[in-house]
Amino acid sequence: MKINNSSDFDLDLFFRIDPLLMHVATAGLKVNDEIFFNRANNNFRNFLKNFTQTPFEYKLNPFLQEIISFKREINPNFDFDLYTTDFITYAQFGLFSFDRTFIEKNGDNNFHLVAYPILDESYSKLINRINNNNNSLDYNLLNNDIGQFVNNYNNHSFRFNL
Amino acid sequence: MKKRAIQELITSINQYFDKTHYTVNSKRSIDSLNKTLVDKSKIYKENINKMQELYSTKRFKLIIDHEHYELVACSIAVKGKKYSSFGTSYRLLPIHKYLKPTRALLSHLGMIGNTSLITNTTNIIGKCAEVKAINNIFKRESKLTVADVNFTQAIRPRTLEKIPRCQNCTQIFGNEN
Repeated sequence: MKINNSSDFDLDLFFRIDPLLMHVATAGLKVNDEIFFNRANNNFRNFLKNFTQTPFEYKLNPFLQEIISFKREINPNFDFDLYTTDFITYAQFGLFSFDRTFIEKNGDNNFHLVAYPILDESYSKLINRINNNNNSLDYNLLNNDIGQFVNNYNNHSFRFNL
Repeated sequence: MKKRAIQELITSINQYFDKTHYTVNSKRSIDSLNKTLVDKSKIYKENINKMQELYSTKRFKLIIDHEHYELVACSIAVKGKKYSSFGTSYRLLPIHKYLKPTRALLSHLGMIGNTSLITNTTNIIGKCAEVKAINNIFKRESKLTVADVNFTQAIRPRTLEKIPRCQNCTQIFGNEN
């Protein structure tokens, strides 16, 4: 019998809210069997890492410093650049990248946005490759909506039931 | 890359960062050990990334379990009198692999493999990186007491940020310095 030891790992999970793609780092959160034993997450990560295209420009969450300010209290030498590296990589792949906020709390499922991409015409290429079709997306409109969303949400937290 | 090369890479990743690393330099400071932990974590992460890029079930028809290509959530190093060791959050060991002194320490919390009744955390007893690290030290220095060991800070390999000590470990090893 396979044991769900997902809390041992810092998993990369992926999901989509059409037409946007999301990445979540679990940081030791226990996720359900259906997600943990599903190879789709690994296969998608493999696809992303082997998909050749110019990296998207990205932005960091404008509230990020505020959200993770408590990490400086835990460790005064907290390195912001090292912290964001992985999430920026996923934003450059075209994904909204989230991290678990309170990693010291075992079952806490609050997540915050770390980095997100600025979409351009190559995003259609990525989505079409995933969907196996040939539609085009209005990335200007999407960027506008994304900008409004990111700059206006006050709660900072997303709860994902994984 | 061939299947065999992938298997070798996996083995090297796990052996390099794994739970069985010893040093014998007794003069080594905890800061130096901390630096080693950070360096090892960086290399470990690079290797895992490489593995994640390479690994594809479609291409290689190679079935590999999660633990070989996912980042662990937490890692730590510990310094005893003569030896140093590393531990990670990866898996609960089989019960017989917890040495007597480790079991004695954990018995204050409750049964290995369960949550503790005396703390509020939902962490499983025996799974913390601290426990794995000190268990390794006990293989060489079985008469150590908690007062003889020093831990580095626990870090998350993905971001190299510090993870505060959990309630279970605080109960056994005391508060962090």
